[in-house]
Amino acid sequence: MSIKQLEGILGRRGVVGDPEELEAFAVDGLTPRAVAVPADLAQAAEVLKLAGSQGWAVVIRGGGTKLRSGFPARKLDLVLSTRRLDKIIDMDPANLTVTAQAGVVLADLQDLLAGLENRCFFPLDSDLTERAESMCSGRDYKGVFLPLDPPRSEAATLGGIAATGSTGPKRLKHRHPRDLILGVRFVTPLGEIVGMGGKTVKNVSGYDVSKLMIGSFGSLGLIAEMSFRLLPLPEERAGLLFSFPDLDGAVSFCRSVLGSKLEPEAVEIINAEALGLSPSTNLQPTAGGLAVGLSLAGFQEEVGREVADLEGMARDHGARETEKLGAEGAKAFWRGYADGWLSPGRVKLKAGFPLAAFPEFLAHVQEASAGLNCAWSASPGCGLASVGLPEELDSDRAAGLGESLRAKAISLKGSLVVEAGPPELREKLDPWGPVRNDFGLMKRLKEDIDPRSILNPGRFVGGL
Amino acid sequence: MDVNELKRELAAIVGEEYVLHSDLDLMLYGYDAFLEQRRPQAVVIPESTEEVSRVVRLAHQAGYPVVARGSATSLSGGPVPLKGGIVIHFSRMNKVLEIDLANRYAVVQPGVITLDFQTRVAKLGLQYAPDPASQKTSTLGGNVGENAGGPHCLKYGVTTNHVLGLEAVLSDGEVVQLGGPAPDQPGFDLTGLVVGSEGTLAIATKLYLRLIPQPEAVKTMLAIFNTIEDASNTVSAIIAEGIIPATLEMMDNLVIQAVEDSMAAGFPRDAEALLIIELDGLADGFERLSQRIMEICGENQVREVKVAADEAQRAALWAGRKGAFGAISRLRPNYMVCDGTVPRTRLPETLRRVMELGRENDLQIGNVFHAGDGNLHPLILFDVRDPEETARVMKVGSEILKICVEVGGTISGEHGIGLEKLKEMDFVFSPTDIDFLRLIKRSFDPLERLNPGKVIPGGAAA
Repeated sequence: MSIKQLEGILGRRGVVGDPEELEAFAVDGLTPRAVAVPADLAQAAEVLKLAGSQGWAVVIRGGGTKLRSGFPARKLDLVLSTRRLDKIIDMDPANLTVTAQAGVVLADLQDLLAGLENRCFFPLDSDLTERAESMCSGRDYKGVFLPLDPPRSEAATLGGIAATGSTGPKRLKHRHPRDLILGVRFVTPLGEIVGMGGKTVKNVSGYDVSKLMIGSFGSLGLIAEMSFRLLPLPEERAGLLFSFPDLDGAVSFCRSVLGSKLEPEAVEIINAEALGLSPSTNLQPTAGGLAVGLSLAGFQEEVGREVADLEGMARDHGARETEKLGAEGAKAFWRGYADGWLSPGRVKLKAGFPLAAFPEFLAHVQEASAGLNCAWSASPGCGLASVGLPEELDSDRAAGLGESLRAKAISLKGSLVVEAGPPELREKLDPWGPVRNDFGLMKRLKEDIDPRSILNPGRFVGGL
Repeated sequence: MDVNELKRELAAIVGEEYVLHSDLDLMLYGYDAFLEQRRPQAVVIPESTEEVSRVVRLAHQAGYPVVARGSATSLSGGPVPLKGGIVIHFSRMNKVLEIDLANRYAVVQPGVITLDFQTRVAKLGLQYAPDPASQKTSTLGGNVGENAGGPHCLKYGVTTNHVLGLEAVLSDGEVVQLGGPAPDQPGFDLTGLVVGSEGTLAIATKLYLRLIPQPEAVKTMLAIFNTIEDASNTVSAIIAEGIIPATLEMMDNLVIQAVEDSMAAGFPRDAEALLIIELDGLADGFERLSQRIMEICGENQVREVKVAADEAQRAALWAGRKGAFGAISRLRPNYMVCDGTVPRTRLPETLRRVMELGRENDLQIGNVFHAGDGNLHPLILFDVRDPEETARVMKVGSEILKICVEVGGTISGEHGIGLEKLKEMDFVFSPTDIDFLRLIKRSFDPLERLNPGKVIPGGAAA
């Protein structure tokens, strides 16, 4: 590898070559020979062109929170860090959009967005001309937010969230990065800079290539800039936690919540072990018991009604304890939950299945993990569940448990992936699971877009 | 393979009565709501995925293009068989295969009429949200092909946000399953890529559609204004209030009059602009929000706000909006709908420039648009029998799109590129961008059999 060539593109500040510093960028135990830290898209493009000409294996890194996934890296020459692609290009609260670069950290962006004035506009005079003086709403709160709540928002970058399709509990109401990203600019493995989509909510000009890039785990290109849809901050927020003595009570409560007209932001079933990993709650389900957590947001009357209804419904379904959280308490709880329990710092499996399958899947989780003190949770309204495995569990038993849960998920028409885990586990348990009959098409796309297979080689689905 | 042999082979697959090839048939299946017409060599009406697959495989081997077609309500020439070949019409694949209430999804064939499906789902207490104005006639397969929008997209998103998966026939006839009822299938989001690809990447034969609960309460308001400025200010003020209604639709005077002539929707003829504002969600808080919206209308010199008292009144208001394109066609023999999208706050400036262009070119332009999400639809009236006027319309249509791009928008919000906007693709895309689209097209369809000549200027091989 020629550090000199990289320095020629990036300057000395843009290359990490010191062996000790490089340790921190290891992936699956492989230390890269260099880390490239481009400051703009043109530099990133040059780096990928160079990597292509040299046949280097490149792993793209944002906040580094999701690297313990995929097939273990077999070869690693270069890590491309998005750390310096950290510009916010456009914040447009009136149009409810933001355009920012890949390396921007989500929590930093949220802080900025929360402070934006979104109550004013410049009214039009005759002939559709704007007046110089603005008019403002009299409401007493301001600010907008990006409605994504993935784990580790203090470290996770926008590019990483998009590339891994990372979501949190509030996906129930706000959905997936694919539903919030209006356009992307990315650098192809051949070093071309391509822009698709834009910053309007509706856009059917050309193929929806953003969708292809989102969730492709850095295997098709470097997502360098994104435009997102925003929402105004809600007038009111609240949280509720209920404990249930067993799965049946929690399941019937969730079913009735999800079958009602209420519109909670999040509904999570959380077992006692997972709740124990989430600070900011005093709720303590009995052994074998679990909790259901709800996040509520909207106008005051809506939230008030939801809290009242949910308390009644929870009682009817046999809830034991209730913890009511105000706006700040709810924020703290969900942050603690996402960063504590949902953090990819643990060994975690993630299953997806059709919505109504959650009781059957969770019953199987309970049975298959009996005696292992596994933490687990589910988003029954999204068809997702996360199962944490104890760090000390040996990789054979962990893989066995994974196979058993995967077989169940597949029998329910779903899937299971290793969201985070050590390379030994990902050697023994296919991190993505069996490919389906669309794999040929995926393979062709990968080969056509990344003909030298330099990006994240061998690590994505089916060893792409 | 010559055409007669082709027809025999097609008949062997779908049965003789489902291969159409009379002069009249070939003419009828050669156009949509755009201006271009071409003729296919044959039209087939398959009954199953298996038959579609066999037709596509035959076309692949014999060297004929294949164009999938729903009701052809599209406005950009998507279903026009530009290079002839076989048109696959989905009128027999029009079954709702499954409505899974517990799992909140439905599996449908592509030929199901959008509104029929929505009505059926509504009876079960759920909704399928995308509501293009053509929903009475359009098919769900067509909506998926075009990634159709509609008024309620302001709150609920467009078609792609409601498609969980597809069964699709690839260009060589292979049948694949993309996505499905479970979320987060590992691998590339090919469903997301195929939706909106206008039948150029694959042909969907089964659609997995997301169903969501109906809102507890809906309130539809019609606000009537003496000036477009007042209506625009009302839209800005509602957003500044932190309220995102389900819809914010605007119409100008020319369209209001045309609608009244055509269906007497109850719109005052002398109003310069009207807004249809619909709120939905939990009933609690509704009173305050709708009160606040009415105050905002008042602060902006509204002439009158009518609140739909019941479902019938609500339906009447929407019939007026959704019938707007049809109504406009009474004024002159033809109209061209432009479908630019701009950031919402740039709408007034865009509108001003559009109207100036109309005046300069002596063309009448009506406006009906999704004011909440910046999607404008200038309707330019003309007579296609007057070639000089038609040429002016084409020029102005293209200039309008250029304006949209200049203010940060794009050339199509919901109608697609098709044939119509090929020459405008370079307003928004660099040659490198277009090369990337080409690469994707070639990856899916190396021989360029599926709806050739659409979406990508110069075709896949250029």
